[in-house]
Amino acid sequence: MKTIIAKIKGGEAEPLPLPFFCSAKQLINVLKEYAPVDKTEIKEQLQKAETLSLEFAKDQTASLFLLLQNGFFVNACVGCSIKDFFLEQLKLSPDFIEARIQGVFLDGKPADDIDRAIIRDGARLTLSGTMPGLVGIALKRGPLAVFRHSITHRETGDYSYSGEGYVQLKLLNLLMKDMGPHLFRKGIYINASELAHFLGKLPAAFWQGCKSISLGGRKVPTELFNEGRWRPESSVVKFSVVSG
Amino acid sequence: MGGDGGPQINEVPIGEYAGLGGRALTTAIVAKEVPATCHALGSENKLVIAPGLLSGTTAAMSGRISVGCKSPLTGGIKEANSGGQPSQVLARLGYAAIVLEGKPASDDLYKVFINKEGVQVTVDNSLKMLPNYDLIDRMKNEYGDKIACISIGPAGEMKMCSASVACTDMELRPSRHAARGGVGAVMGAKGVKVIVLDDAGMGMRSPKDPEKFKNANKRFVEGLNAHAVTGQGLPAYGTNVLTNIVSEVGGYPTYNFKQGSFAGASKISGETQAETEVARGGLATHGCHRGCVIRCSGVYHDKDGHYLTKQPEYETVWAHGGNCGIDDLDTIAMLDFLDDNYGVDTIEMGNAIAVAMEAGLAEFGDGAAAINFVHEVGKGSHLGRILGSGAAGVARAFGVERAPVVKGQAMPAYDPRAVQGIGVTYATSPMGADHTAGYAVAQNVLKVGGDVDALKPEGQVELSRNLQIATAAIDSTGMCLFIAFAILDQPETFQALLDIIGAYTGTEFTADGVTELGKKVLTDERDFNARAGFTKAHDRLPSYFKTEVFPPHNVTFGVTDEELDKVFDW
Repeated sequence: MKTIIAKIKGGEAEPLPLPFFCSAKQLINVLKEYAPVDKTEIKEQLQKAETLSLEFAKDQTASLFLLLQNGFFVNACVGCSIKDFFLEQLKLSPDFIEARIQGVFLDGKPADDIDRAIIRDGARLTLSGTMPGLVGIALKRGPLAVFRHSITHRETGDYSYSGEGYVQLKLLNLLMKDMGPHLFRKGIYINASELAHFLGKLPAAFWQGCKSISLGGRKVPTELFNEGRWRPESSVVKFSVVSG
Repeated sequence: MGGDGGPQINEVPIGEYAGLGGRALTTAIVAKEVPATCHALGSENKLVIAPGLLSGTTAAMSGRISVGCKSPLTGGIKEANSGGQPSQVLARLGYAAIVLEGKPASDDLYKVFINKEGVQVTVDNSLKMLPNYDLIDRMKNEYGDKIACISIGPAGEMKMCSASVACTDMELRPSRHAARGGVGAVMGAKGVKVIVLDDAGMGMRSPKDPEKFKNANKRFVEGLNAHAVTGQGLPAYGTNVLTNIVSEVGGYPTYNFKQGSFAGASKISGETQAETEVARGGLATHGCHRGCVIRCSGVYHDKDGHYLTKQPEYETVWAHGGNCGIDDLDTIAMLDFLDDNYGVDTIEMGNAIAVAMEAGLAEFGDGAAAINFVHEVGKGSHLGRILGSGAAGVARAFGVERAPVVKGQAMPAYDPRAVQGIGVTYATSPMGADHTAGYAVAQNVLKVGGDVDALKPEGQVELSRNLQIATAAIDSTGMCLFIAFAILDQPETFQALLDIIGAYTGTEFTADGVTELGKKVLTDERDFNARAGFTKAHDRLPSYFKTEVFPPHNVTFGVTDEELDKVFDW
């Protein structure tokens, strides 16, 4: 085993363990996937984000749910517990949290104690509404949690900042439907090229139901999107959907 | 199959095996009647096909069938099981099991037909090397569409170690497979291409206490429907809903178990798959057999809206997807179809291709190369024979150290460094690396082995043991293992299951009874393996799992050999 030290702009270098026979393509993949996130750069992108708002006569957000599985950003007050983030910022009810959110993953680690786990600035929070399989059961809080003890989130309590920041959210499976409409109404920050690609693949029927589109505060024709001609000017877009 | 003058048919009373079904029955017969040191493809081995104890009744979810033998892949005892229609049909015909014995004297290929009149075995060499889908079309033309079939594809005829036994689904497609361990190769060695089952004129099997049975089944179904996983998650997205989740936590083996997250996960996720299926006129919610109420399967259409394959399972999507670096659902669906058609285990084949990619035979992510590899298997070319021998065989042939196998069988879709408890099961299961071996009911429900502290790593050894015991018992009932989610969280649903079994057999069935049944099955299996030459040295993961750190969490497998050796201390 050889260790390659990844030196990437703006991030803390971490050793990336790779087998010595790793091909160049694999190396690039690993570097991409485990590159440290530059929080300052992301904050700048969020500030510069152009706005895109779709208005529909009937709710058609179901066609957009798949966007939520890749992750998106929301402005947040960070330094609080996951539970407080759910209750006070996402406005979720205690019953909903208990009954519908089966899996909570903070920075890729199962977080069993959402009362204690702290959301840091730039944290990635992934939520799942169903957890099948033996491993699905193990990834939930419960007796099988011991099966994945080596990757469980453990709160160190060493984070003192509390204030404005951002969180990357990912919503999976049943929660896309449960939480998606509210978040789309409120607006989410999302990778612009990913959004453009996604919107460009939606069927004509979706756009036929669209009453109006506002881009950067100006009305634009639907053809810009359903013909795949939209070229975003910023790397992140604040995207919202209004229905009714 | 090796009788004088050709195959002979014997119908014998169940005798000492009375009260057993599914895995309990296949294991009991193989453990007692097959010499452990025999060659898996030789005349002494037996292929036992047994419906579950509750199959053929109206009990929901009771359509699993077990296929047992000495495995040509692992060299140990094997039980592989499958959904589809044959379990219910065979049970309604009144058979506790089909046992294929001996070895044909010639190269003739046989077809077995079973209906209420009895059993016919005939030579039909025109079926040679037919892929499963073509074979079943032929059977449909010959016997009509009210049948169920158990068959092998070309891989089984060529006796490849990854060969599966196919079972037809409700649409009479050979899309369900008892896939693991090369059971199809043993069926091929017996010279049997297909078993056609026709239960016309036969009724449901009756429980001893019909009223209690009906009531318990009602409560059981209500429990399944009420649970978030069995009532909502699995019907909506199928098992592939796990792709996003397991990749997110860094437990998703990618590029032949090199890293735990796959950048293309969302492109092949259950969420994306379900939407694709619906958009193309397929189905995202569908049962694999009558009486299934979870309906975690589906129907996958190609871009032109034509049937391509059944909804690929999570394990298949992973094996051919992330593990091979492939992020295209259509490619994965095609690979699933080809695996089913040629009759190979998708987990073994995906791992074999990933090892071949590591050996440099193709680049990771090259979907066209992966499809070509499976065609080579179907053709039986020299390369195809190597690939069809499984991941361990490919690694030996091409000099690759990193073969993710235990007892010769390739690992499923969870990395044992990130989810170490499942690594305990991979290492110690008599079946080889198997994600379903320790699955069913948590210790907190069964209360076997005392209470376990979920926060202490040592607890995972005990939990693995208890889960393996419970799973062995569930596998014997014919129940789909996915009932585990509901009976894990809802004790009343577990009680309903016990009541179903009790009402069927006419005797009270308790959690202790489940435990004893599971222990008996595992004891017989381990005893067979010991006689076949297995020692505790075989209850280990490949050593690189202990030394090679696994990103993103940079973990290694930390369960000691001493701890692994305690799994079967009872």
